[in-house]
Amino acid sequence: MTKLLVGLIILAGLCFPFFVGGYYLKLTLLALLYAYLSSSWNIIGGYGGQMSFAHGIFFGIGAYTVALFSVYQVAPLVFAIPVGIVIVACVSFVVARVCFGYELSGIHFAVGTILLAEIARIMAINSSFLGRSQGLQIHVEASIWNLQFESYLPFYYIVFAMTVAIAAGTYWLQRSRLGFRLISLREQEQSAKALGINTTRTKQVAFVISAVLTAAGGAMHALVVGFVEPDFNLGLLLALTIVMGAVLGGRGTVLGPILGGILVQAVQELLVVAGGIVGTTSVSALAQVVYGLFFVFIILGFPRGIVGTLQRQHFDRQAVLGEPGKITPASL
Amino acid sequence: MLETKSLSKRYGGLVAVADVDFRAATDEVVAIIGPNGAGKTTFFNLLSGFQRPSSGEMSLDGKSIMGLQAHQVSNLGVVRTFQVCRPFPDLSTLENVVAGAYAHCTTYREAVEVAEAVLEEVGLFHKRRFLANYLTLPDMKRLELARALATRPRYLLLDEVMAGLNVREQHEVGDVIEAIHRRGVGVVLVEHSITMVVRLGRRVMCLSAGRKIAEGTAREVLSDPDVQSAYMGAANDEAA
Repeated sequence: MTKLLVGLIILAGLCFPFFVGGYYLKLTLLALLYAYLSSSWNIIGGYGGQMSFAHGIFFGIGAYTVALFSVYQVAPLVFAIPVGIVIVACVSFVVARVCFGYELSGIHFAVGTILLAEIARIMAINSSFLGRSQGLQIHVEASIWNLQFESYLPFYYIVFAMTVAIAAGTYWLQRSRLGFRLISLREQEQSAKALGINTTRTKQVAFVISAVLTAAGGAMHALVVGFVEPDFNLGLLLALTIVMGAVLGGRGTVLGPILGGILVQAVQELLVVAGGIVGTTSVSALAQVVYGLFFVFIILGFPRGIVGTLQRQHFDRQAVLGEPGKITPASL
Repeated sequence: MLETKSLSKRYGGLVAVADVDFRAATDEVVAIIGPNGAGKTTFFNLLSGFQRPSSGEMSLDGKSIMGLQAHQVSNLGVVRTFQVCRPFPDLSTLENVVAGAYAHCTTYREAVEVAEAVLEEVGLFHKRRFLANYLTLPDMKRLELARALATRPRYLLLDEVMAGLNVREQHEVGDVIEAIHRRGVGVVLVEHSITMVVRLGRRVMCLSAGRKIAEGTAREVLSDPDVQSAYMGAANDEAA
């Protein structure tokens, strides 16, 4: 049943471009890309419970590396992706060593990573090498080596494959030793230590994995939209969008961040369209406020996110009804 | 052999644990008793690597375990539980124990098999799908035990597993502890329940104000005048 459903969703995703093209295909693939990014964050943020806002940096490094390869004509852009990934692996390793080595957790870790994200943005704004606040444009001839195409179709399939792969990876993680270590330390760090889990190292490993996956997403984003700019690609705003998707859909679930990531993009685009119809900037600013309020209410009402809330209800039902013949309400 | 020699923990001028000599073998159940604030939990924290001793020596089978971190001590087979239950609340009972089993298992299937066997042993198998959060206190204590047991420890350090249980429940958990002990796991209990100390403790050590004031069989220790005055206050002083 579940297998059939998964198969149908994948089939629908594969067929989607036959029905939709152009601008809407681009919107869809960007929504999928955000689903992928929220899923990457979910590894450390959802399963590990470490509220990282530094993921904007990792996205940015991935994106800026692609742009720099184009502007300074270093090599075909496809090689920018591994280079970006290696840089992010190093940077995130240092960040993880410092933050988790000094046992930053909870709100302290969150604030620390917010500061790092802002430092990165300010550095980019002030270095001419990175195009200051204008950012950088990507201008290269369309070729497979540059990962630049005439249409969005190849991008769509690449991003779709990335999203499916990360969902499969997360599903595996959930049952793996690493996954259980992460969940354990999220749930109760002292108990996790008592069971022999090196919590510091587990967090470090998960953080680097999560960061590297985010970098790949950042690189794809730059390739799709064709430019990078510090306010969007490096700062807190992007990190918030990624975190929002995961929180909305359900932290620490496989499908939550995917659903949430798509939903966040859909709502944003709807607001842009709505603003366009009315045609005044004050209305679109108002729309942003509505957007903010929408998420505030969702998070207040469903702190576990959509999928998390559903899962919880499932557990509640099981606890009340029990398994026939095995669990009775009396044994509660 | 799990051993300490003149182990001490000081907080500034306050001495929480003072010069405690202790040993436990895998074939015995040792109970640590003492009035509140005697340093029993601190002693466990030192032994399990959650706190660093100020001085003294600790060893496992002759090898020093001084300065090891909590997870390293656990991986050597000395696994503790907590006085206040600390299950993983959002995980099912089974998943809680799977987390423990992953200390030595590599695949999920294997970890689940180990976890199910352990749950059967402590009598929680029928509640394996419940969220740990929904368990009653006696069941949470069982879960705490099961999770530690799933790591395949050589020594179990149990910090007041009986607290909050009625006598019947205490004896049920006592049965589980005896079964564990029979399999060759050394058990060290911090315990207030005298019934359980008498039932389980082959050897009893009494701490008071951080010092060891008595050691021996349960009967010897409980009839020791120093132990009685530590618990009840010195009757003679008040009379005088």
